Amino acid sequence: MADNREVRIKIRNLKKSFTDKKHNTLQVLNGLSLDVYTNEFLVILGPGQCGKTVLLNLILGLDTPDEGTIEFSGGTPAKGEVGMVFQRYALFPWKTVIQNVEACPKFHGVDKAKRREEAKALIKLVGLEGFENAYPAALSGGMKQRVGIARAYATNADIMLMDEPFGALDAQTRYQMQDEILKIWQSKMTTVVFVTNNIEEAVTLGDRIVLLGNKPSVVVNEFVPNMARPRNNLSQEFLEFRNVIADKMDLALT
Amino acid sequence: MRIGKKDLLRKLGDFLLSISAIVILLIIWQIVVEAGIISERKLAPPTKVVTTFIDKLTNTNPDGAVLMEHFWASLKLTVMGFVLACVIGIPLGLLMGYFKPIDSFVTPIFEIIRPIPPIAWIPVMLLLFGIGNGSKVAIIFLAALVPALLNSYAGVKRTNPVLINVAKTAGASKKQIFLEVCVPSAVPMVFTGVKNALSSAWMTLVAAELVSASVGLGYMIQNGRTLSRCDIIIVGMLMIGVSGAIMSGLLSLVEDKVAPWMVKTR
Repeated sequence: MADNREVRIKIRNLKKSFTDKKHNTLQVLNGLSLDVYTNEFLVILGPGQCGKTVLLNLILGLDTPDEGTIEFSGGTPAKGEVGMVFQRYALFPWKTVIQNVEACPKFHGVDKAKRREEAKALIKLVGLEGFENAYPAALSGGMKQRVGIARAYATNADIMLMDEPFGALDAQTRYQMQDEILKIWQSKMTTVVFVTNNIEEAVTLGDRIVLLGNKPSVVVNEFVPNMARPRNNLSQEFLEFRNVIADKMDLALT
Repeated sequence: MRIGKKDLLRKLGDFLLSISAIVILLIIWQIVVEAGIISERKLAPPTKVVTTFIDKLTNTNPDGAVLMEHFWASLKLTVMGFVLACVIGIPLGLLMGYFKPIDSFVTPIFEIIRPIPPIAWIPVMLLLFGIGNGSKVAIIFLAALVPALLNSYAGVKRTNPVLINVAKTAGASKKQIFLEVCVPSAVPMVFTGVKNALSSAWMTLVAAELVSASVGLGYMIQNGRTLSRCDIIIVGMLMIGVSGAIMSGLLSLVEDKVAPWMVKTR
């Protein structure tokens, strides 16, 4: 089924290592290959420290690979054409909610009236109306990440990278945010690469789930949960699928 | 935010506690002198300090100027040295924190100047600028420059790298990253630096005036010592303490205006 879909990001044989101050070399990615299809919700599942953030930074262009290529259909995107939702929100503490959301268009010099209008629409989309002028310090974790999501979408990017965006949230808020992110993804029609270490979250969200092995990382397995959304995380089907992945993940770790 | 009755009571309690600390200190001070534990000639009691303060408002004896003249002379020097230090130190520190070549250029000189106590500059400054106000302002400037520059520098250096990445992915230019990410995130540290610079300025002022001056709080104190007028010494010290505290309070008000996003840890 996946084969006749358009590839949006083609990652081939990606290698990346880091050298610390004592000259120890740490191979983080070791020949990772992966296709990301247009408008799919791809979940990258892997244990902690397996180089998921490194992979996202490479896709973002914040870092360059030692070897291998990342190709985008339609050429390398300009800065700001790939959005990113960060693990620990990474909001600008000195900016209000609305100023955070419009921060990226502002860097591009987008006209104030235009970016304000778009920011307001996004704030409405993530359900933060009435908090436009609050500072991040006054918001709860879930609300902060709503701002983070709105800010990422304000770039009008059609590729959205999410680095364990709900990892710091409590379980209740996490479920809520998972519903929200699916709604936003469906309304905005974007390609999402969502990184997590939580199997349940992966099965809840993913069109496709790619399992990474421990360092040095390569793709170990791929799963396609053919379940209709919203997925009930207590259904027999869900739990079975979850167990299959859990078994593979244990293998990947050893 | 609604201020409840409970909050109001607690605030009143805090206020009374602060006041009582001062009152208790004054009482002990008075008793110690009255009881003769410390001679009145060595330590003037609070009552004597108050009468001397009122007297010095109009009396030019024994140092040739009324209290406010001394105060203004000192305040002018302090503010001049302090403002100069901030105007030069803050931008320089911010730029050094972000632009590596500026850092490499300035750091060696600065690292050598930094450990020299401001007071050790007095002889050089006297030779360079004479015994007038120029040398005093220069010494105060050097004393205040170090904390103003260092904290601004550290503030930029400690910018959360993820925030810089956010700006980079949005396609921000280097200048935008500096002005719109690093500088605002350095603001709290800059204010810490400015406050430290202010207290350094006051500290150094007295030292500078002790050496050479014919007016000013430091001179008044020094003169009081020569004449064994401990009451005048204490009045001078308290003037410095109180005006330093007031200026620091004003800075906190400015900080609240400039950086309203900071969570109060009160």
